[in-house]
Amino acid sequence: MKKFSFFLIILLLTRIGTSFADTTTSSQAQIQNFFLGNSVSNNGNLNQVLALLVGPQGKPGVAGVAGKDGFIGLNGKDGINGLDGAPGAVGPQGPAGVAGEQGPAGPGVAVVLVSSGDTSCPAGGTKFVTADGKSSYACNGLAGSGGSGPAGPAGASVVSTEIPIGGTPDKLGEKHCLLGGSKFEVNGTITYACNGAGGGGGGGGPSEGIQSVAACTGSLASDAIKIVPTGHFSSGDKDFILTAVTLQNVDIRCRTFNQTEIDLVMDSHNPLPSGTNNYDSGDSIVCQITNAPTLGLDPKTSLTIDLFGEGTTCKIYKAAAPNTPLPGSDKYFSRDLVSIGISFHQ
Amino acid sequence: MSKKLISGLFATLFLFLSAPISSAADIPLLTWERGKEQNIVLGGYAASGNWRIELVGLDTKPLTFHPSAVNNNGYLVYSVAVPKDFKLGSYTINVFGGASTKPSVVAGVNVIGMTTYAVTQVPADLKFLLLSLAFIVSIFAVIRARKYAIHSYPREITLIEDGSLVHDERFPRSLYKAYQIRTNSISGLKPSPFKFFVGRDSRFLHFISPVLWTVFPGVALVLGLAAGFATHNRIPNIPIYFLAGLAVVGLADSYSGVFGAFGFAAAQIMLGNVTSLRAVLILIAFGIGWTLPGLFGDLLHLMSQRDFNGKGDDRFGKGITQILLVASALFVGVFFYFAQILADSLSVGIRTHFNYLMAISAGVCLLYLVKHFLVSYFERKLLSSGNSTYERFEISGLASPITTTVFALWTFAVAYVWSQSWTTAAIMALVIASPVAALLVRLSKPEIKRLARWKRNVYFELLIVLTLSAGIYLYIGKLPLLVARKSEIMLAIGMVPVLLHALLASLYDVTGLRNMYLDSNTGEDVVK
Repeated sequence: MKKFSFFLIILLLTRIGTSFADTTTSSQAQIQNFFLGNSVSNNGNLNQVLALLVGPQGKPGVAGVAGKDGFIGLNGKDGINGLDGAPGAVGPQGPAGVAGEQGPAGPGVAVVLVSSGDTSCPAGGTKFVTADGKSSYACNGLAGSGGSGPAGPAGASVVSTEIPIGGTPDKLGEKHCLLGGSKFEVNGTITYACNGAGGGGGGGGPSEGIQSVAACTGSLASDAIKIVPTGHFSSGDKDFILTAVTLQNVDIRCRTFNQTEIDLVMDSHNPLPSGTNNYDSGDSIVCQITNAPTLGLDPKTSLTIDLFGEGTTCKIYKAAAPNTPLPGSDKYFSRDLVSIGISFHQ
Repeated sequence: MSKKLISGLFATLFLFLSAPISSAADIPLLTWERGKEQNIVLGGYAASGNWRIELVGLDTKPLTFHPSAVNNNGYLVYSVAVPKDFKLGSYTINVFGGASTKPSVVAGVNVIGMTTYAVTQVPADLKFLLLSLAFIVSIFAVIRARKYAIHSYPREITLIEDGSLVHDERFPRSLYKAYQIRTNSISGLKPSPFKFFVGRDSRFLHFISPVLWTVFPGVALVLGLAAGFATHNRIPNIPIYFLAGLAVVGLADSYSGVFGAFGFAAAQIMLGNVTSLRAVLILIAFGIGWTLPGLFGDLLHLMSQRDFNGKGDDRFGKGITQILLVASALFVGVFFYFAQILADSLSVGIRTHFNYLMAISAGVCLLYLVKHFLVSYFERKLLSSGNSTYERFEISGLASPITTTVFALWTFAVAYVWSQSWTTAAIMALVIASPVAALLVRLSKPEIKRLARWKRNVYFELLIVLTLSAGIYLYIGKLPLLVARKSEIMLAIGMVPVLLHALLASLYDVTGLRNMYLDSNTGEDVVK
């Protein structure tokens, strides 16, 4: 190994000496070449160092001119409908209503003394007649019969005093019979017969014999009348068409009425895919049918009113002219139906 | 009149058309090599602003420059390491910061491939080289401790020793002389750690076949010659098959690795490619890579086994043994890689097969493990046969004056080629050679008794040295200096932790001589 190393060193020095002895280069370059070789190419144009001098911060510039407004953009597409909201909670019970005003003073009560022999008071008495002609009596007692006992003591005398409107005060100062009346005093016991206050106006009576739906409801609460609208889908209109209304659980008592009438309160969603209807929002559709004999049938059968069937007459009553019936429409859309009222007629 | 009017209109038109071109021409155009660190110096009011600088190009992720500390004059240096595989082409340097939200384009950059390698402009490589050197030199400072001093190994009795060389029919007569030459070439060396570890290492081939053991140096010499001729003047780009082949040869038998390096050097000299000190240093670097990794791996493995001796033969103890072996194997791979990068750093040529180099280094690591297991198997077989003898060596003096001088000169030459500065080279040679020079003598004073408590551990001490060194490199990297200047400082003072460690190790040696003895059971130094 030593010999080999020695050989290599000799060989190496020969090569280096040959290079060092090159006279074509300067002595300084020769020394440089001895250490670093002559293949070093220091290209001064590579890997330059960039020097940047940062100046002081300048003053802020003047405000620039505002640019023109841009064009207004196109409207965006409508968003999809939101989900239905959850049902609201049941509200608290409302406060009690205020007390009604006092009614007007009623008419006076006529007090008529009835002598004996009157049909209503054979022993006589007092008759009170109200303004509407109704009469009431305070009769004297009839003489007993068949009595064998000793004669009773003399009856207490009754002192009757008419009380004018405004009342009369008692011993404690409390006024009685502000609307007037009569005062009866028997052995110190005072009884008042006061005039009543005037009654309120009475409701209109069943002049046409209309019976309420409640009256047609069966005896059980579960037998309440059910109203079931019936319709079908129209591919031409792309919507549901109302064709009939079925009433279930109609009591026999109402089936005996001559006519059944339904009152459809409608909305309107014009324009329609095909044509138009003849009713507008708020109009009523009143349809009548003549009830068929129902004797012998189940008293709780259903009753179907075909809007376009024979025997059914439908009229339109405009909201603006509720007393003028107009011909019915060709179509009634289910989604236009707001409410249904029913009634029965003699 | 109309001609004058038209001329005037054209003049006005060209005036406005030329404005953008004039604007572009206002910024400087630089040419940068990829793979190197590039710098930008900011002065003036730079310290007052939070500036961010980027190298921006099309279809490339911008590279951000990292600022240094600010110097006394308010200057700071922004640095970026342009990757070796960075896309070539045109880039701009954009500066963000100040009052404006938009970047300012301050320069154009043409990124080109690396034309010449200069390790002082590639801080990552320089740090790796210095850390590797610190690791290796620090091993010498540790090994002088008494517990690492005595080593031995079993070996076969040679055919000369048992007189069977001329009687063994399996051994060709033509190789008698060669066998004797190889035997004598090792035994003729003066006792030294090198002789001990080369002899230990060469057992592997002798276990396999004495014939192979005899002819392998010749094979390595031929392979080295072929590699040298095939490489021609393309150093450091040795053809990959030759590089791998010589690495395997050196790992299998370090003695043959020396012959491989000789062959390679001879071929290069004959081709006229070795005419400067730089070229000689490159050959030495390659020689280190083909010769020393296995030897240093064995040295580190033996030392670390001493540190963890007495852990028992249980599962934990065996686990520790395996970990130490793997760590040594990793060190062998890194050592080989270090030698190649050292050769690169000394060459002006650019290595092109970098990925292959990584693969070969990994292969060297694995081969060391395989070799170790095979040697262990052969050792067990040898000890059961009875045809064995023990080689024993005590490390009394690690380095001779000649070794120390050669090492100092080599360090000086390497540092000069790196920095091209006599001063830097002298300082680095002084700092690195000092730990080796400290191995020349054993001091007798001063004695610091507190050092007797120091539990020596090679990995622990190396870890501390490397951490301190890395901290120094990190600090130097933040200085407001250009990359070449920072590299010079790294070369000059980067090895100071190694020097301090060597001094401490020498003082420990003084204390140990008087106050400690070696426990023969545990192998540990024990305070008297």
